[in-house]
Amino acid sequence: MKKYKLVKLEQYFFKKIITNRHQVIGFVFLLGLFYLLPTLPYFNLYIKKELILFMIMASFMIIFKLSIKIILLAIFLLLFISLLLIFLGEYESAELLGNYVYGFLVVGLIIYFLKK
Amino acid sequence: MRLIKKNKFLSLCTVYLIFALIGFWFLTKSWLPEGFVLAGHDSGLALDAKQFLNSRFYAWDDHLNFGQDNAVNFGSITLHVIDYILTILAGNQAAGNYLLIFFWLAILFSSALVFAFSVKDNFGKVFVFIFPVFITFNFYVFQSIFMLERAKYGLLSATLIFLAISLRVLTRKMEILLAAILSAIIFFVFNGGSIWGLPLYGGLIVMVLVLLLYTTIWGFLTRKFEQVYKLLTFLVLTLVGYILINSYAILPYLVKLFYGDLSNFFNESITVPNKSWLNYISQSSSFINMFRLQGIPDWYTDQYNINLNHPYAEAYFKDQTLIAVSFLFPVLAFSSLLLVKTTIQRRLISFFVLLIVVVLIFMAGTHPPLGFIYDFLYDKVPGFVIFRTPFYKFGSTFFLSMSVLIGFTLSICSIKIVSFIKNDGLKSISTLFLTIIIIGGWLWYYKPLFSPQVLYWQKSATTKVHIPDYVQDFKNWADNNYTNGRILLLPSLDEGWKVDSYSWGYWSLSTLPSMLTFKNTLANDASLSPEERNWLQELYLSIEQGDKEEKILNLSSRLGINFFLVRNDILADDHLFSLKSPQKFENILSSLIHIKKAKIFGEWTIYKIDSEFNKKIYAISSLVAIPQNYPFLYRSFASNSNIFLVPQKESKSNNIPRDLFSAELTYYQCESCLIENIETNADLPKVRVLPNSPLYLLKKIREKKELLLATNDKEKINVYLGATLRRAGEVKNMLDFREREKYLIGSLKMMNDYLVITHQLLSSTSDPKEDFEKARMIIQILNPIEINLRIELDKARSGTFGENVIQGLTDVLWQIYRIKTFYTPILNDENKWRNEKVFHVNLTEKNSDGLFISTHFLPFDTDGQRIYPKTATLTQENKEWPLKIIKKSEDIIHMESPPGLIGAFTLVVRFDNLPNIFKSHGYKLEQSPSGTISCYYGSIERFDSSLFYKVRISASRKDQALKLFVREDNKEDPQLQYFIKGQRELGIYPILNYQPFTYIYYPSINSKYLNIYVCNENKEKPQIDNVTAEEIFSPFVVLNNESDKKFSIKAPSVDYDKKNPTRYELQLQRSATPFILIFNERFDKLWRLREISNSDEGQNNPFGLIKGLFSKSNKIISNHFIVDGYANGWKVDSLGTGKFVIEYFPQKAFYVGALISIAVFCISFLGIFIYLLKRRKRQ
Repeated sequence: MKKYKLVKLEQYFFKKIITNRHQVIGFVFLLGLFYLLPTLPYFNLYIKKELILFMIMASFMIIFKLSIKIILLAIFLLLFISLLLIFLGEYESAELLGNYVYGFLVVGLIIYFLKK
Repeated sequence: MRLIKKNKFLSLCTVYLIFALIGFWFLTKSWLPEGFVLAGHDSGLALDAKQFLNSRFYAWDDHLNFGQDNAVNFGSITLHVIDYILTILAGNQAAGNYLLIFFWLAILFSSALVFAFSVKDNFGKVFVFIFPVFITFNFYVFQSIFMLERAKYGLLSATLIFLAISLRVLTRKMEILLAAILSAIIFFVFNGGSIWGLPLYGGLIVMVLVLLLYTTIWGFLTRKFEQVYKLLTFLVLTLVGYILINSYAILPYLVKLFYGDLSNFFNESITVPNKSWLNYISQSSSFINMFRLQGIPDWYTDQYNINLNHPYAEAYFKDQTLIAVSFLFPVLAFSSLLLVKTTIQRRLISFFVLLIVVVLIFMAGTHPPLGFIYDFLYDKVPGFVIFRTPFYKFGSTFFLSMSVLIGFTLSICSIKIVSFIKNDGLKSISTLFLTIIIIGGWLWYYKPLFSPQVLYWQKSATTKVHIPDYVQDFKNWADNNYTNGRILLLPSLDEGWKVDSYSWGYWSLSTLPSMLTFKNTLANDASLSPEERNWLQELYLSIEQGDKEEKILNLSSRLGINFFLVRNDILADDHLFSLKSPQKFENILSSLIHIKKAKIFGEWTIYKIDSEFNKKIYAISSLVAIPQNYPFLYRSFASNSNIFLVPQKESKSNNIPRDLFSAELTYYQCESCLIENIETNADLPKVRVLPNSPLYLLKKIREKKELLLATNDKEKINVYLGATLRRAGEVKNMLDFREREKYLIGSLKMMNDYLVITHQLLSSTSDPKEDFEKARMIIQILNPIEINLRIELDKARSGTFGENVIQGLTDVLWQIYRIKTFYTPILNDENKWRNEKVFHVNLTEKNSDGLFISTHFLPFDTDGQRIYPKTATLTQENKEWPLKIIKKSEDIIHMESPPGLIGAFTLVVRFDNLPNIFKSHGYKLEQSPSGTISCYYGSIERFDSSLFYKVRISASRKDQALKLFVREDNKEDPQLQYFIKGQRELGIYPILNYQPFTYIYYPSINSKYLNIYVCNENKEKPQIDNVTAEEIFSPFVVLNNESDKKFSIKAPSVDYDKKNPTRYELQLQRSATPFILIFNERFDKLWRLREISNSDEGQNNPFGLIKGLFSKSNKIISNHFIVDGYANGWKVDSLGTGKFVIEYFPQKAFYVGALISIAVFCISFLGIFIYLLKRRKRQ
């Protein structure tokens, strides 16, 4: 039974990968680009790992056209973690998550407009 | 039936509004009980609203200090009309009464209700009740309620109504023209106050632009642009209407801008200091804070730490429930995107989300991560500098959008919850219940805003004050008595804070008497110009030191002062600033013969000068010209004359009336002093782009361009030396990073070539014996290169680099040696210039009485006496003329020259050896992070923070690692309570017994004592031969150039009649010779002196003045200049009728603008009336 479920899951992922193959290739290509960016001269002066992380997440959302519901869920999750961090006095990390919230909101709005 | 339903809801809203207003009434009453008013801080709330309103109708405000422009403040008339009406209703003449707070909260709430009502069909009826509460009770509105920012509240209210109108236009519910007229009228009443309120439009501008952008995006998506055109037409018409209806405020400002101080608008000196303020305001505006409707700059001391002095901020940092609730705001706001159902809802909600996304970039200011955008706009966009407090200026739109989104989510959720209930009655009750819960929850979160603490700007400081009776008595006396002349406030304000503060609570940058009475009061507040401040400080100091009565009277007369107000209730013992004791001033004034006690008002005493003093307008025959840098020279050369301050650099815009100077002082700086105070700096410039970079080409092009632009040898030398310095920085970087040798050799070769050319240019243009300026420049630029390259050469010799690099470095060092050797006559013995000061002077027939040295810049001996020059010699082509030195006064030394000397001379002034002012305290063990260390220490005797000091340390033993600590302390020889630390810390390197280590220290302005520590790295006593310290002094020489012209001793008398603060009518006595008319108000280009014919009389009414504007019979006296550094002066050549008018030009623009405004206002009302009539007919 367990094995059957795993096979089903595997089949689901394969199907997803095949139907979204162009997006997957595009995303992998972008991942490589983002990996290379901080090693390039001049770019490395401005691109920090926090920004790379955001760019990866944002491009994932845009390429795979995540629904606004999922993006909002991610935002709420980040806000919740941020609340915990503030309770712990980790204001700097909470601020970083707040920046991601803003970024996701922008991405969400772009997707929202594009879908309409 | 539908109409009745609609009316029912309207009735409900009206009842709700009435209840809310009653609530506001009780709330404001509890904040400001009987007898209390809001005053002080930055409120601008006058204590006599009627007089304040009157003053707003004139382009010049003559009641404050030396007068100031008021043309930019006409826009605030509407606000002050409201203030005045409310003072009548409240029965209290102070503007800051409870009724005013009530009024503005009520206006804000009502406008929000209007907006909410307009979107009720899409956002649900619950929204109508909760939104006004959200928009009224939040930290953005309440952060400034203690100073009642009426302009901000007004503009926020106007924005809400404007938004409602805009939405009606877009949904075709209102005609464009009617909407534009209504919008223009709304922005006429709530126009953001004066021109200083312009930044408050920041939020509105962003909102309009986003609305336009949003409509355009939808236009593209739906391929329908009808709404874009409609919106554009509406916005253009509104803008035109706004400009026309506000002409009374805009026209005078444009006159001021284009005829007056346009250059100031883009002046860097305005933007640069504000950058630090901008960064301070933005320090806490992170996205996470703003999403939680927080981030108010006043709450924080730095990026993450709370300001414990804030009356209620602490609760929102410590209370975990409040923190958790604050996270509900973004959750509720963003959830609105999930709850939209209809197209209109979708469009409205996505518009407000877009608005939040955009406005947050502005509101966050320079805060990362997107702060660079604001930084760029602030630096590059002309005029953007006005938005120096981004959080406050853009916050209105953000709080509005968040309130809309939160309100929408809660409203839709409430509707969904009650939709499960079938019974209509129960549904209504449940809706009511839910609305009450939402409002109650919101108000619970903001509960500190209901306490009277909200009127406190710090835990112990408030604008809520009870004005003492004696203050009111003084006001009545000043208003009802003829007080000609200015009233000087004593004691002076603290020079650092420039704040007027009283033991009973008033605290403000605006002095209390200036907010109380409209008689001309004078104090050293922040509004003074530097020259005005100098005069006032001179007078304050004279009174404080008990100088000769004649000097006090003379200065008072010059400044038009006739009264002194001594205030014994000032906050003299405040921990922030130090004020002089009022009693001291009372004692000194009481001891003077010509100053009499006029009246006592409780804690305030008024003194009157009982002798002649200069009237506001008078005539003189000549001026004495004094260098602007040294205004104090007036004491020695023009104590009884009016002066003209000659700017250091003369430009076409400076009108210098040389033909009116009876004498002109010129000065010469000490040239040898340039060599003395060169700071030892071993740092090379930081360079990022190295020769191996593809961007290096751009750098080379820029340097070539610089060289092409250099027109003379001096400029070329500068370019070559600058390029050499940059190459040196590159070489150092390349050596550190071990770049390829070919780049290194290339740079070194370039350096070598530049230095060869520099040497050639110097040899042909510079005199190595007398060109101190170039010698200084050479030392400053070449020393760091030499020091660094020597170190690099040592490293390179160790085998890291090849022979070519070593040779390149050696060649450059040789060229540096050659250039420095060229200046051997100057640089050989730098110590010589400690006592020998060289000047290059030009003697003419006009200055035959000799040369002068101001004693202000001479050093002191160990007894505290000035060290005067020992000898002074003039030389010219190997001939020498010794000068006789005479001490003329405490301020000036006269050096008498032999008669008949004319031409260019070198003046050498020699002084005795300067005393060593280092006072040794011996040895002491101190703690440092690396353990206990032994220090030899001492202090500077008679330390003065305005001087520079040179410290010399000699040590024969070379095997010590000594360190110098220079400490600014509050006392001499302090007991250190921490590891030893200094304002400057540096290693004493190199220790050479033939040349002492030298260090020049520039103290900070507020330092009181300077302690010097020379420490070893362990407990062993530092072996030091000698430590000395001496003052570095740079005197200047003055020449008094007497004019050949004969000036009449007596100038004509002047009779004048003040019509209003912007217009004076004069009758001048006939005079055979030209004379100077002085108008003792702050200089402004727009003050005009006009000779009038008899037919021009009666122009003191608005229509007459406008007629006069175009009259050809006007003869404007164009020779207008600054007298005494601040007042207006005109040269009058001849007299026709003898009738003149002094008028402030922007007042005319106000009259013209006011006529346009009134006309447009009437036409607008007529238009609305006709529209309403037509609509009624249609119905």
